[in-house]
Amino acid sequence: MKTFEERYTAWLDGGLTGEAQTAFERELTERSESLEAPAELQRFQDFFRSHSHVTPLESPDFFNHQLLERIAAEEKPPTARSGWSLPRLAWFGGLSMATALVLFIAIIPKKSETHSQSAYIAQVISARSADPNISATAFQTDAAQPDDMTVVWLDGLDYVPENAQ
Amino acid sequence: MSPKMRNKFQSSSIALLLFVFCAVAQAKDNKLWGAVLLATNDTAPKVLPVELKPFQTRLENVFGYDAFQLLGKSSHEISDDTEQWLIPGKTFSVRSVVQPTNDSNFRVELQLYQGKKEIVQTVAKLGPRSPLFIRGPLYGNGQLIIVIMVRDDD
Repeated sequence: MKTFEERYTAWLDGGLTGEAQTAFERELTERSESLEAPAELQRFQDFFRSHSHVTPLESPDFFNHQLLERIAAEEKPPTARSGWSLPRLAWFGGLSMATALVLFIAIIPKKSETHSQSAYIAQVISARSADPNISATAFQTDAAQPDDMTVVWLDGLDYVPENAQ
Repeated sequence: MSPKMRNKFQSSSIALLLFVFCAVAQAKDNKLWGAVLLATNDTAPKVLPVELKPFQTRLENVFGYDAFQLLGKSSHEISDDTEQWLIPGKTFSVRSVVQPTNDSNFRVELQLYQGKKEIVQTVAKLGPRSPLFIRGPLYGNGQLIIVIMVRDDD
């Protein structure tokens, strides 16, 4: 047995005919409070049916395909971002700084090493003076000894007055 | 840009930054340092610059003086193949061109001027903190010594 609402909907849609329609309209008249509304609805229904204009689709299959794809995309659960997240970047940044620090300590020679006397390297490749009165001689005291020293020895220079320097 | 490409790009950028950081850290603070010393036999104590302390005995032996006084000093950052000037005192100036060598030393071209007169041209290979001493003219009751050194600190 259909409910009143179902039969009402069927009546509005023109789905009731013959005896069923007559019986339902009789039932409607008994429901006086509903009498005006269905009549009004019926008028609207007839009005929309007579004035409705549906634009035919040129490619209905393509339209449906696009629509289904859009729905499928929206229903798809969000996937994880392919790029690096902020915490991951922060961790990697920290790791990079630590690596840089280790490299810095490992690669940069320490001062104590560079200060060692055995690392003394001073070799004169050439030494000459354009002034014929000045002679330039280069020598190294003793490269084999830890206290060697390289000197460019200039002779023939003019005396410098004491207040000049 | 695809995610894979972006990850590669990020990794490459970080590696490049690390490399640059290390390179900059390694290359920093190389300076050409010059000084003018007055060597005398004064009895008054003279303080040798801290950079030259290890050479005190050698200076005494080579030059025959036992007191060394700093009269002036000057330094500049080493810039490859660029002509630069050291002016460690009023009398002396040094035109220098410094090139790092493959063995972490430096090829140094020097022209030492006394006033406007060039007194010597020399080319030397210097290691860090390995001073080259140039015996200069007599001065007062002593001897001037010009010191040229590559320093790897500030």
